[in-house]
Amino acid sequence: MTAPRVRAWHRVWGGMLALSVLLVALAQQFPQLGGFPTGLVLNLSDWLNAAVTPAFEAARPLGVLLSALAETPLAAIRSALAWAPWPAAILAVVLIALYSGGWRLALFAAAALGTVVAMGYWPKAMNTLALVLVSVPAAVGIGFALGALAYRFPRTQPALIVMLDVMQTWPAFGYLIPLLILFGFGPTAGLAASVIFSVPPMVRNTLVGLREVPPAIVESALMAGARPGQLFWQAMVPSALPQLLVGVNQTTMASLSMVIIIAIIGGFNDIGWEVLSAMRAAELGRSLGAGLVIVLIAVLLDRITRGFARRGPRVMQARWLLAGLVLALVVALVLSGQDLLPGEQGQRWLRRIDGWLLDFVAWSAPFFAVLRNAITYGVMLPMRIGFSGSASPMVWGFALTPEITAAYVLVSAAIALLLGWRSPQRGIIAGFAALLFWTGLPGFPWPGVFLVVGVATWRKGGTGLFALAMGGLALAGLSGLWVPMMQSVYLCAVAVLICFAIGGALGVIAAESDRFSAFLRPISDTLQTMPQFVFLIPALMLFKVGEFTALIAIVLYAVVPPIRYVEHGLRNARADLVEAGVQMGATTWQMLWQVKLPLARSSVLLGLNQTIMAALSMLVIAALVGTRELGQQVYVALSRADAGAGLISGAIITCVALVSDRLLRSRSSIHRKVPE
Amino acid sequence: MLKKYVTVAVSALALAGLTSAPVMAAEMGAAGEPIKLAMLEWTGAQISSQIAGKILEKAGYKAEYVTAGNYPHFQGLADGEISASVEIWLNNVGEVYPKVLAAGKVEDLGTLGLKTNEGWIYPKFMEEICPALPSWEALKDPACVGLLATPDTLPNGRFLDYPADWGSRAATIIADNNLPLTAVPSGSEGAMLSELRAAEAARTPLVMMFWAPHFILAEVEVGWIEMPVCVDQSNEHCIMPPDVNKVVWSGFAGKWPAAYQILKDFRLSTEDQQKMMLAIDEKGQSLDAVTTAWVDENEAIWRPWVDAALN
Amino acid sequence: MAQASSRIMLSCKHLWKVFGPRPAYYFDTAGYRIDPEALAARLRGEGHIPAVVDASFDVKQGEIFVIMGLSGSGKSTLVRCLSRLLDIEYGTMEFDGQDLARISGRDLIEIRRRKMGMVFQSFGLMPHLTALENVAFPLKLQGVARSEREARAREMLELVELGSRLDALPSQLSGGQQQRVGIARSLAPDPDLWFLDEPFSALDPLIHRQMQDEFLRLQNQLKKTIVFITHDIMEACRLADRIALMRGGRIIQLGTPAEILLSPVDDYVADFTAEVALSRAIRVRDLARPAQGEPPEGPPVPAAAPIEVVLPALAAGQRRFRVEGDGGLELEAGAVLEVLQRDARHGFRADGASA
Ligand SMILES: Nc1ncnc2c1ncn2[C@@H]1O[C@H](COP(=O)(O)OP(=O)(O)O)[C@@H](O)[C@H]1O
Ligand SMILES: [Mg+2]
Repeated sequence: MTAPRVRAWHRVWGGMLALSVLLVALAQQFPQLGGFPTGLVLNLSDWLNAAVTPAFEAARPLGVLLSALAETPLAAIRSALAWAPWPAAILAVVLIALYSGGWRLALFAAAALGTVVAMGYWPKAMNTLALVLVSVPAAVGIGFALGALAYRFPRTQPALIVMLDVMQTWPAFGYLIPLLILFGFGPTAGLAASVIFSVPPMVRNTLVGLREVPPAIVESALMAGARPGQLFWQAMVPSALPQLLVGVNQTTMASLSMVIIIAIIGGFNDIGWEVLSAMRAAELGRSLGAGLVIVLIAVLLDRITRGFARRGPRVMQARWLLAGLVLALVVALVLSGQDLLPGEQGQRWLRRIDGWLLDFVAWSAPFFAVLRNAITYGVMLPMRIGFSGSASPMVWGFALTPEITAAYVLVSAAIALLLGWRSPQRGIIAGFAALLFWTGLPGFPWPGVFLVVGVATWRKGGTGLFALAMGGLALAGLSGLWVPMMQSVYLCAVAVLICFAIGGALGVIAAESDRFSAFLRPISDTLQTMPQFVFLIPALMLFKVGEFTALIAIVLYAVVPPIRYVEHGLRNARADLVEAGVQMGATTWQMLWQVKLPLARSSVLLGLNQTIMAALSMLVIAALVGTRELGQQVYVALSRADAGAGLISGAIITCVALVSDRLLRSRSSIHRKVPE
Repeated sequence: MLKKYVTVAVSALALAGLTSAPVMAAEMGAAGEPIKLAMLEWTGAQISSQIAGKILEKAGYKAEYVTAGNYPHFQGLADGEISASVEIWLNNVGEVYPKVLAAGKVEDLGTLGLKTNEGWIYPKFMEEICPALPSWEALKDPACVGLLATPDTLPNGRFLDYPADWGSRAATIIADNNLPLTAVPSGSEGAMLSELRAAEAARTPLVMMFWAPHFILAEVEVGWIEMPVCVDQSNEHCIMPPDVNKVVWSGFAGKWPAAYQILKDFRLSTEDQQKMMLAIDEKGQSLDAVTTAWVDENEAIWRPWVDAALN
Repeated sequence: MAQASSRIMLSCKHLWKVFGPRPAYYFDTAGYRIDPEALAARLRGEGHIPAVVDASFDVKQGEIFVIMGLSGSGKSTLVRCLSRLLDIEYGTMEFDGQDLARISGRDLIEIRRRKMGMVFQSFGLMPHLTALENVAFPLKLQGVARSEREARAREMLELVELGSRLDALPSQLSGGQQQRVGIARSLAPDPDLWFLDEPFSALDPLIHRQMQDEFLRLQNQLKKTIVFITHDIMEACRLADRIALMRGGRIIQLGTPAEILLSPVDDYVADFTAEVALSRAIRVRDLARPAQGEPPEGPPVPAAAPIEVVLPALAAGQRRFRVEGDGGLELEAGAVLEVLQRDARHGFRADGASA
């Protein structure tokens, strides 16, 4: 970009700032400039319902057919797993683990499944496994087909990528009602939601895998006289296999994370159901136990699929594996029909955890109350109601007198000018920050939001992004969800800030210390695979119902990407440049700030992006602790079986996610690289 | 509402018909096909469901238990994927139930017989710090309200309301009586229980909306606030004990006539349910064992229902 | 060394290959092509890459035809046009009497299966197949039964002296071994026309010579018609019967190695060949002439040997050498000395330049 154009943009942003200041000032007089005017709200959800409900009801026969198709194998797998006595099943899994990953994995498999049995969750875990065994092949098949078609017809790719992003960001609760109308009550609706969510990684990996098949392989196959089908199946697919297996792996993980959604509908008596019931009864022990089962299954499936993706020698040969599986079958036949499951002891043990938690709560309540109040007064309230709202005797101990207002205006103008003198960009940013701090994020005048977002999207992404952003904002306003949307943005923004502060620091330490990194890794894995519902209970007990607890829940989940990406970026900073820095005599601190972090910039940005996505995806779950944002709207719609309202709330969340994603992502990094 | 009275009237008529002509035994119907009973999320409903199923089994039917979410399961009932759900709290049915009831896809079989309660509760220790409790007047006392205040609700006290998706009347009632309280939606049942447990453990004050029977009431000692006189008797301004009814799929009576009669007569007392909840949730006994024990010990209660249907 | 028959195996006339947004636009009427240079310049000016410009040549049966040029000069593109991995914009290609440019997909597959083989710079081995399976791959595509194709693959691997590594995956083989597998694979269906696109460039320079020897040994045995791509003039001179020298998509000179070395058409070619030690690159037969008068004394020198083999005898004072074979050819000292003088001049110039 050339200098004059940059300067022109500075002028545009300067103008926007002036306009926003004007709007904020005017909003004091004309409240219709503050929140979106209610007069403009339309009954969108009713219109949508009038269109959607009949459409889905008309498609019902198809849904019934599909659910029959899905439920037949599901029932078969489920009864097979229920029939197999656990010692035989464990033997089989341990053998597969041995074949795929060697002795250590086999040992882990034995220990993990033993734990599941001991906790008394075996039957439920098998039901969950049955769900995964149906949804993963379905998602892998669909994803592979879509990816292959998109590879074949490259023109479809941009549209497909957007569709995948939508599938991954649209909260599943938001489209559960239409799915229920379509498929009827039962696991199929949940399976469909799970497939929708877990197909995208398979498509992406298929596309990348096929694209990255070395041209020489394609050409050599062509020169060997391969027909198109032979070329695809015998040369390209096998060459892309490692990448495809990465896709299978990610799809499996995504599918497991949807187990809870399937359970919301019910009908399957699986582990997700157990997590939900435990959450409902606020029993930490049980929900931790059930959550642990999900984590263990996830880790096991992850390692086993990765093991299969690996090329190279195996501990044992395939025919020994086969023999072992036959042996497991024999054991199953011998043991079948006997009641081998342990009693309730494990469950009783789990319940003790609740006692400990309550003791801890009783002991630590004053401390956490102080923490909660400090952050609420210091961070959350200012960001929600702004300086103008929090400067009251009740919150900060002083009132908003004209003198204080004047002082605020003067100080912030001075800071903005001072910074702007050296670099206009910083001055403009400081100006907007001061303005936001004055109104609070949700209180920013709505025309200002339209303006700022409009200019930003126009500049960064062109008409497509601009249209998406404006459409999302208009949808939120017209459907009466302006305030919940701004609340969501505010909650996510606070969460992302905190996540980056904590996660960034942890990532920096982890990049410096292998030990700390090794210590952090299982924690990160657990935070990402453990159903979030589990963390809600202790958070609730310590911090009570409300936004703050929601914030904690969001942070617990979204703190993982910054840890991973910052560590990844720092560790992969180009060694020669780092050496150059050392050679120039940089101190450790200078190295970090002036050499490594700038080098890790793209990875850190990607981490920011993923943090935002994670935070947005937690909104719906955080609603369970009592929030007032879009996630809550999704629940309200779910309980009212209001398909339209659910779709609209979901769509707004998706718009927010897509717009922030595209704004942060440079064009070159469209393909996400996730550090392992 | 009218619709509900009509169904109640219809079932009353049916009941009358039954008692006046006991000789008219019902057919077994498709006894080979399992009757699918909903197992909703909370223990009480699971107990009711298991007991109903075990009684049906005694009568020669097959029972199958389908775990189901409260809101989605109405769709299942309407489609016949679920045959019956025996503990439906009519104060919390969302918007599908009224629709499918009106469309005649499900049938209300009348009360389960639980003595329910709904209202505002507080942990018992609060009577020491707000001596005016259990009277609602205590919530006007600034000292007491100050204890309930949080940053979000200042200067008002915080009132923990039902989750937003359940619908709630606390705000109207607070306004009706000019109470210095702010209703905060709780998000979920788990959130309410967590708060109540934590309040009890840490002895922090709390006032919240709640209902009975519920297993937590055996664990945490609570008091029920004596509510002010309602402005009017409407649902908006007044809390009345909710009805808990049994609901079946509309094809139920045709398919399993005798089972239909049994479910219609089926009742469960609050005391029995509460005892079983305690055994399961607190003592960690299994649902199956506890309900089997009840069925074994209380043949005197259920045998007449089976006999009336079969003979 | 090749004994090319006069039968023409592959004949190309006025081949054009252009990369860019709409290459076809420039070839819909004949007028543009009257001056290839002008068209190429125009294409470059309008955002296109003319990778092959008006290339015409014939490849004779049994000949090693080397296409040489710096990287980016269009060699790979040209050979990919010949194998129809790329479609040409304009021109005719005749292979074994068939119009290769307009052949149907089915026939093309058939030709590739039985008549063409290709070796790639980056090997192009299937990572999931063993050496044996890789070599058997083309036969598998043709539907040859397993035992038969594996026997053939084994035979091919023996030929490239890899009979002991049949079950190795490509990742377990060295670069040279991988390329031998690639060579064996391309030979498995016994093709008539063999394309090699810089087959040794990705290998360690130390084993170049060894691979070249092996290649020549194979060719002596198999007598294929070969189109060989390289950017290495020494390699070209060692292997070629004829060389086509490319620059910017054009073939700027076409001839035997000696013609190119001894009479470069322009300074570019001269510069290109300057580094070559002529005494090693020029062969006896390139300078041989029919014997005049008495046949020379002494043992005969091989026709394919570089002229440096006569240097010891030359130093000893011998002036005429009998050339092996019954053509009655002789090599005369004056011709050799002339070449040696050129070498010396080049050396001097190179020294002068570096001084
Ligand atoms: N697929 C392609 N698309 C666009 N340009 C290409 C493509 N392949 C080759 N080129 C261009 O054509 C020219 C000749 O390339 P190539 O035949 O690979 O050269 P060589 O093999 O002699 O190194 C180069 O300028 C190259 O950039
Ligand atoms: Mg090349």
